Amino acid sequence: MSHFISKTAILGLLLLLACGDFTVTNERPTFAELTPPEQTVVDRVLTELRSFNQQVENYTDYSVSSIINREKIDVSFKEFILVANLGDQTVHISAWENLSQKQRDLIKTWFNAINAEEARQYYEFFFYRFFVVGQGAKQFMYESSSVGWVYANRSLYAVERDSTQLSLTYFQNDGTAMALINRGCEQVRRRYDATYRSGFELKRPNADQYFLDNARSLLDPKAPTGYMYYVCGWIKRGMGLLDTMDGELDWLGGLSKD
Amino acid sequence: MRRFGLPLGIAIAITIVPTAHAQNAAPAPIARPSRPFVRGAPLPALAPSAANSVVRPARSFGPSTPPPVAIPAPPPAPLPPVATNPLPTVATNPLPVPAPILTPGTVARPSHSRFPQTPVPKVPRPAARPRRPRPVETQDGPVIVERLDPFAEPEDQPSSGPFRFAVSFGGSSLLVDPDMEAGMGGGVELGAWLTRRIGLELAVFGSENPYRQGLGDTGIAFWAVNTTLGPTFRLTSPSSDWLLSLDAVFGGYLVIHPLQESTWTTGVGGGFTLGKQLTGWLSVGIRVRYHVFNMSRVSGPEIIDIKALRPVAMVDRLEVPAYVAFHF
Repeated sequence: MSHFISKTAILGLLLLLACGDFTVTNERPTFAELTPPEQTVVDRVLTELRSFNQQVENYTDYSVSSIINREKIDVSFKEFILVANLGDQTVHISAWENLSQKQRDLIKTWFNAINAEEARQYYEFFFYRFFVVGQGAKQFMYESSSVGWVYANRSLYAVERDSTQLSLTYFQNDGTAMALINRGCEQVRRRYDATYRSGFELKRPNADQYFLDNARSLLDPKAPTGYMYYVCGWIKRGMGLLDTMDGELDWLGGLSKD
Repeated sequence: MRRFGLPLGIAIAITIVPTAHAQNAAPAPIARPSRPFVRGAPLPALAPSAANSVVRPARSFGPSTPPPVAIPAPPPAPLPPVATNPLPTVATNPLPVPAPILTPGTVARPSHSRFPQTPVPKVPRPAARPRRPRPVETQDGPVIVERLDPFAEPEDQPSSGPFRFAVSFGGSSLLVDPDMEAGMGGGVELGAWLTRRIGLELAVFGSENPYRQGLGDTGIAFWAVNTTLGPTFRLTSPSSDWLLSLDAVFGGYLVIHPLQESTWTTGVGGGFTLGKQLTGWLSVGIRVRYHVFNMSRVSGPEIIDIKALRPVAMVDRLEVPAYVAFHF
């Protein structure tokens, strides 16, 4: 009996070792492996990034061309509402097609959209354009100040707020975009004021600490409602602080030189 | 009755034989000297029966006889040691005190008799005779093979107390993951030997593994803390200053994610411990543990990797910490 148990245990262990890949990082699929809707999203993201990079190269000595590459845009993950640029030369953007129905309903609720199509229009503007420029702004910070410096010297609150401000500055002369921003964010703020306003109204550095402490719930990739409220709050504040792209890039690029 | 006939017969024989032997070996009964009545002749001295006994002068009808003289009684002969003399001493003991019949290894009970009890020292048991190795038949004839006893000898005392508290610190590696660097970790451990060879240990060990390449610049690391319980099997002798044991663990593994809430998963592990006992209460050594975790989720969200934002399957980790243990 004991012989049988030990034999089974060894076989089970070998099977376990043979089946697992035992990694905490997965390889992303290549552009060719993506579905056609995902490839379309990648192309739309790259178009926006190219346009943003043109202004970066015009006004500064830096470039964000390192992420303007089909293999550097990650849209393949499922059921996460996420935009991120962690500094590893990759931009993560959720594709509408990869969201769950529950998440699509949540987005409809955010913007108080009358139907799924309107929710989709809001989503595509914010996630395929506005937040993409925000990720380009982060890449500009990484290029001008280095990834290590940004993580060591800038709070998560400051990085997200500054990238939102640069994105707002980028779209300030686009009437259609500004109409979507104003209308969409008005709905978000009105609906979630009671939940998030007290935290958002904190003065810095308390606001930085609060954002960091609650980042996992605010940025919850299943339902990042808190993050969306903060973005709309920063947009409202940023409307009164709008600068030119030249001035904004100059300020952001000079942070590590002070 | 028939079943017990033979043993009973042997018991009777054993009981009887010494008695008969004692009767044979006993000195001949003291013959009463003949007392020829010789007028005026002194009577022969009788064997003293007790100290200070006085021989009564013989009554004579002739010339006066010398005054009676007290004959000092010789000291009584010492009793033969009971332990070595299996014979009953009653027959040869001139004293009226019956000596207790004792067998080796017994101690005389306190007697309620008015006679003094003879103290009998406890005789230690003789050491066990070493077991003779059994010859084994081989092609070259019978060969005596010394058989190694894998279990402890009776005099094999443990070199330390049964409980220990250890603090460990050392390296950890996720082995096959190309995006992860080797990291460092530390922990504490409580252990107890349940038997001479089998113990139980409760350990908490946390380790940090930084990311490599682009994510490495961010300073983000993969954190995992395992809280495990498992048996330990000691391979070396408990009396040895060196410890080599095989260990198995299972328990809860906490993954602290930079983007998500922390997740508790289950896992198993195993390895060995090599240690050296420095004093009775202090030892040092190294521990090698291989863990497989995220086998099932206990609480928290599904773990996603921050490179491709996809669910993480089972994860393995090798820990090689050095430890300092305190025994009590």
